Amino acid sequence: MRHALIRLYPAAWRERYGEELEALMTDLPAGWRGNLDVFKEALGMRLRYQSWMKIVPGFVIVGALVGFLGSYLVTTQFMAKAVLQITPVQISDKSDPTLPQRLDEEIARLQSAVTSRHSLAGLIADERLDLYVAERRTEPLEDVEDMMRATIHVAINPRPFGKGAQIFTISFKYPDPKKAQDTVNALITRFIAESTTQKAQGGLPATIYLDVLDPPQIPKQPFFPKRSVFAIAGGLAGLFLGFITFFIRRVRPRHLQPA
Amino acid sequence: MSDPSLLVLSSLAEGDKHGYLIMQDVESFAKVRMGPGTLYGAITRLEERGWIRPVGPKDRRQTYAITPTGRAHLQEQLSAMQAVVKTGLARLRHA
Repeated sequence: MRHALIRLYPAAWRERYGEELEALMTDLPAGWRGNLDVFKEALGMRLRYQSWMKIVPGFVIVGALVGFLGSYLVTTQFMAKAVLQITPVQISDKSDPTLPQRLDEEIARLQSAVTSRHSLAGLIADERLDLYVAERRTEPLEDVEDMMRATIHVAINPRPFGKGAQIFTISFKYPDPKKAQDTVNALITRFIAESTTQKAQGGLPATIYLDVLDPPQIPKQPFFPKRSVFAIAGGLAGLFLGFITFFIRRVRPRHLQPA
Repeated sequence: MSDPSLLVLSSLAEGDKHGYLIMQDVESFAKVRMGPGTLYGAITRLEERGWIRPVGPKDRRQTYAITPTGRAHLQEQLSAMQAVVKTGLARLRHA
């Protein structure tokens, strides 16, 4: 143990003081405090003494490793996504130059209705979906609704899809991939139901239809965290800390030759 | 006072000592138990600055001595501390 701890010091330091430190540790009663003290000082001596060519890459490697392992501590999120199409059936509608804008407005109106507090409360309370079980125990329903709304994303294709149709996607992120898929299916059902309601109430032209082009699949890969991104971020943080450490170290034992 | 370097210099001001004796001496006069790594970290820095030097033959239990510049540095540091202690105690008495 003693020998292993002393091996942590830079080689030139060991050559000069290694035997003395080992003799001192032999004279002292064994204990974790003494070992921890030697470990801490050995690391400090390495930081003070090693050249930046060793310090900086060392920090980068440790940072990348910490980032990679840290990615396992964050909650994994899976994203399920569906592609929908909203289509005007009447030819007169298709030739209307304001149609794309009108369709975008219709989608926004549907989204607003589907992600309203009332609608989300229904989804959260749905026993088949079984969402946010832990959060519902500790958080007010309004906060859980806000949490869910933040993970629902509706994106409209910026370019109209031919024949006057407009394409948009509905996505939802959740730690359980199957629940993510089920929830997107539930959201699609609500979009369709809401469009039917709005048509019945005259809020939406009766000649506009919603179709599911690409139903949601069970996501295989997590959307978050991207372990490679965490590792790169950790490596970059290590690079920064490595240079900072190199520049702020105050004492460099010049009487020892570099290793 | 808990700066390991000053503790080591204070110990060596009395006479030459090796690591184990320095630790025992510091514990007796300052009631501070220095770890072996801390002690040798301080010895490295003090030798680097020329405030202590090894004396006698090269040995596993190497003896160290304070140098004249080390003594001057210790004098300067302790005088500064003494001024702070004196002022602090006087202010406590009159508070």
